[in-house]
Amino acid sequence: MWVLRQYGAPAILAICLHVVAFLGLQTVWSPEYREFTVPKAEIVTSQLLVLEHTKVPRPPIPEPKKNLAPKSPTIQPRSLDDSETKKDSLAKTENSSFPSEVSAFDTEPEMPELDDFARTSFAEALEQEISAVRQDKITKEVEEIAAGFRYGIYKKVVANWSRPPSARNGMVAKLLVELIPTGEVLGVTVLEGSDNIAFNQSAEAAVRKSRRFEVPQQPRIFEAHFRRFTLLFKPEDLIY
Amino acid sequence: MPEQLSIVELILNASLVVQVVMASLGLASIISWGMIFQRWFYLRSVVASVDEFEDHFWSGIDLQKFAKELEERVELTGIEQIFVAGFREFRRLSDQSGAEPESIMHGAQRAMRVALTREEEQLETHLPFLATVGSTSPYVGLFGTVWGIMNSFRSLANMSQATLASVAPGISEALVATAMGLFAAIPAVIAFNRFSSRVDVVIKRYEAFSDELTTILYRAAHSRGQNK
Repeated sequence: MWVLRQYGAPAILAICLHVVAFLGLQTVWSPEYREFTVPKAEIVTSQLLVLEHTKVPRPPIPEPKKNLAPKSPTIQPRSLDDSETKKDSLAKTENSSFPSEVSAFDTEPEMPELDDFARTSFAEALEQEISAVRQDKITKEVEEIAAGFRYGIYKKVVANWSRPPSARNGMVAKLLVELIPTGEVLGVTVLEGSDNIAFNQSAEAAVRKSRRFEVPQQPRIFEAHFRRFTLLFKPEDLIY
Repeated sequence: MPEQLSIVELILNASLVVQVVMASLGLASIISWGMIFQRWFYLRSVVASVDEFEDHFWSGIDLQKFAKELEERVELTGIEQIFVAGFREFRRLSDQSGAEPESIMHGAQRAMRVALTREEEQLETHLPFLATVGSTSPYVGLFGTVWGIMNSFRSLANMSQATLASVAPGISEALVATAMGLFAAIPAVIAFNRFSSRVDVVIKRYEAFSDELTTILYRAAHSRGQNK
């Protein structure tokens, strides 16, 4: 009873004070949310556009083929003795005294033939084009993968780089980096450095310090892009 | 980091040791504030009672009657107890026949001194606790912080890429412990200094009063001796 009278009010006051302090801190404490924009490498490819371009000429070709639809079965055998019929038709067309009806009749089968020739050549070309594009696409994909890994390598080198006091913006060091398939650094040499020796050495040391880079698992890509590659070390883009 | 670090999250995400430290600091803070309030009310009432008593005492009333009045009361404030103890002892000794005035005075003084010591003890309760909280809780908070930072750096060592974002929450978490330690310590230190000086003032007044009462009783004892 005595204890309650002596300590009841102080205890309630103390607890109230702490609750108020806590709630106040909770509401006041809102660290402003700042967004840090860090530039990221974005690889943009325009392959799709190229493919569309090659496909565009295709639709006009099948249209004449529709007109000659009944004769299309004859196209195949005729294309075998291509040269003879060609001569015939040429001779026929030379004789301009022929009635226009005949000539009209005769020249008619010739048309699909030429067209066929053009078409086959066009199809071949198209196929070649497509395969070339596909090849191109594959190489571009490889390029893209390689670029991604190269960016990672560059970032790691930059992270390991300790800036010498004499380093200035605009200094460039071209390094030849040799890796083994696990990504470990085999050797680094400075191909072209800046005038500043300390800078060149720091760039070289940064690569050595990285020890191991992430490299693609596919041996083909690795051989093509990462066995020996040049790394252009330009620290001016360090200052985000 | 899009997520916002509220203080509750910081406390909940902390490691166990840091949480224990924070909990003990929070408890210490609540208890010390409770004691601060209790001492505050108590000392205020004590000072008020001393003022009131002295006004009453020096208003020229009959001491015999006043003492009897006080003795009938259930609860007595500090200064009243000193007065009652001294006066009762004086009366008891002077009622005995053949008591020397010197021995009567010695007895009364001793009784007053005992009462004074008891009152001092009453006034100074909880002050050592406040002193302890004030001096140790910053260290306890610091311990929590050091532990938290230690852990966050240790976890940083396991990461391949060290970023500020991976250590910052841990450090922020750990620093809450220091903040809590200071939050508990600062009021405790201020309250301790203030209350101990006030207690000193009150004790001085008690002593002054007991000296004054001694002179009054001394006069009474000697006048009684001369009357005999």
